Amino acid sequence: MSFLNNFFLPPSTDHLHLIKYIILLIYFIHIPFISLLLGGTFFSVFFRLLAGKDQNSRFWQVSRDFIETLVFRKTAGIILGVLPMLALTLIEGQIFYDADATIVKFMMITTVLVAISISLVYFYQSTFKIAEVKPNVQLASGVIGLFTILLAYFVFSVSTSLVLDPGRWAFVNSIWKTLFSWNVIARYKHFLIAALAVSSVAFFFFNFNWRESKKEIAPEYASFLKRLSAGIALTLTIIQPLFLFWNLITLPDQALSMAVFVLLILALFIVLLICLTLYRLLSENQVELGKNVFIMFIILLVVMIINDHYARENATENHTYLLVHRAQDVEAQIEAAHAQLLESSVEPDLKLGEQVYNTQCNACHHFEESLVGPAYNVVLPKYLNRQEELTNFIRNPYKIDQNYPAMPKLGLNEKEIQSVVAYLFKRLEESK
Amino acid sequence: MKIRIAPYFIIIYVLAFIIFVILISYFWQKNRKTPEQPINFSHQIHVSKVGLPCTHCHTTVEKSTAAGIPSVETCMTCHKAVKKESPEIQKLTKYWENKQPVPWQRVYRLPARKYVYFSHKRHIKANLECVNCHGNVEIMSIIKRVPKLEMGWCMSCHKAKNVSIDCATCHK
Repeated sequence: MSFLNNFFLPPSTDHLHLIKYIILLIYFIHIPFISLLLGGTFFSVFFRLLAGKDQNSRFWQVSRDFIETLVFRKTAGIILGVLPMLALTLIEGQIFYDADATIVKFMMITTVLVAISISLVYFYQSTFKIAEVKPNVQLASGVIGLFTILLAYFVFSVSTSLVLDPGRWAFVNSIWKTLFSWNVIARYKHFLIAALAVSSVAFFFFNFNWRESKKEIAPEYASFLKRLSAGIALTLTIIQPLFLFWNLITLPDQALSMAVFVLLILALFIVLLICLTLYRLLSENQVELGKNVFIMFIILLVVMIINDHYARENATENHTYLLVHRAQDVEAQIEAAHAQLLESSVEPDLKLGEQVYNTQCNACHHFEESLVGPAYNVVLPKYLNRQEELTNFIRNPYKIDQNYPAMPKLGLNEKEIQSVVAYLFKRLEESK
Repeated sequence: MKIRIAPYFIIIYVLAFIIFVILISYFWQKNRKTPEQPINFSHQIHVSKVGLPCTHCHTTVEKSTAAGIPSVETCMTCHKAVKKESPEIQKLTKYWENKQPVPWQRVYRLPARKYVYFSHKRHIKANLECVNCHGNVEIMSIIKRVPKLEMGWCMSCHKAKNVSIDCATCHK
């Protein structure tokens, strides 16, 4: 995939630090939206299939309510669905620009699939009440849309799972092993179950807590909807711990850290609270609890996304370091080229020179006595008329005197080198 | 009054998972614990702050199968003068005066070392950087083992770089 590597520029150091937070932000925007889209379509298609051709069936109404409550306007689909995915693809392209293009390839496939599925779902949603469109065509668009989203986020899970296991990057020879690793299956199932649970909770919230006064629902149908959505939410939330746990034990060792465990325990506590609240909501018919459940679900989502972020950071720590290293190399090369141009015009700054002397040189060299390295009063005079040689030596030190260990390369920039040399000669002058 | 058992069931069920996670994290932490070193040596200070290259102390890495743990003498070339007042350096000086090696605890060790031949020299010759296998030593105040050093990990790199994956390459 060398053409991909040419396409993406290596990121700079500042850019790399910023990127992490942009990814986090994209997740916060995209994951809730796509969860609702997936859940809305899934439940709508499911109840639509249950209703069959009977438009007066109660399930037909449920199907329509689901897709209308949970799938937002078209602009939202572009702003919250397609664009974040596209941005994420470009960002991942920068981060993994030569580590493994497979990750980016999977992200690209996801972006295309998300765009297709969102269009199909909007077609399905908007043609619900239009009689001219044949019911079968309308249903087919929903079913195909649903399967496209399912496929899109399967591919997405493969990509995110691959990110967590740098050990596997080098050998993605077996596509089947990559597609169906335990972690992919765990992540994907967890995502599906969580998306469906979030959708049913959001459905309950938007219908009975949010616009309660605006929308009139027949009492009998309302109580049916309440029991249905809260029941689905409770069932799906109860199985959450299983998938959270499964995901944890399939995480590669490198992705683990104490933060991941702590956040997971926090998530489990929130799941417990949600389950108990939903149970109370169902058994005591306290509709207003829907609001609490909805808020707790948002917190749960945030905790899970941060948890995933930590896992990702842990796993890619080494890779990020390599990137920073490489970026610094490139920056140093540019600086060196600049320095060569400016060498004659770099103004030595005695204050900076003193600073460098105190933090770097002073540990091993003093003027009067020899420590780790020889005393300046002994070695400096020979450079008096050959300043250039001293700057060269500081740039690339080598062993001169057998009685002392070799001086390490200090990684100073051109200005620092010129300044410290000027400072050293000034001190030598003063000590005479 | 009807006693509801479902909430108790939910609580026990979720708590069981929480306990599982706590247990896993406990064992994970215990297994991961890096050995305690006789002197609190920081790679971070020596690499990032002082700017020493790895080969400054691990002198045999380019010439031998082992990278080599530096001798007390190597440490003392600088520490005879540098940071003499630090209690950690005083520990080092004590080893130096007693003519004893520092009993460093090894962090990297091949799991089945009896059956595996590994050479640092060859890997350096193949232009591999230390960081590729030893991780970001520059930010580690306490050295940690980064990869597990299992065969699959070796193989992944050998396959990717198109070098021999013949059994006899490593199992001599």
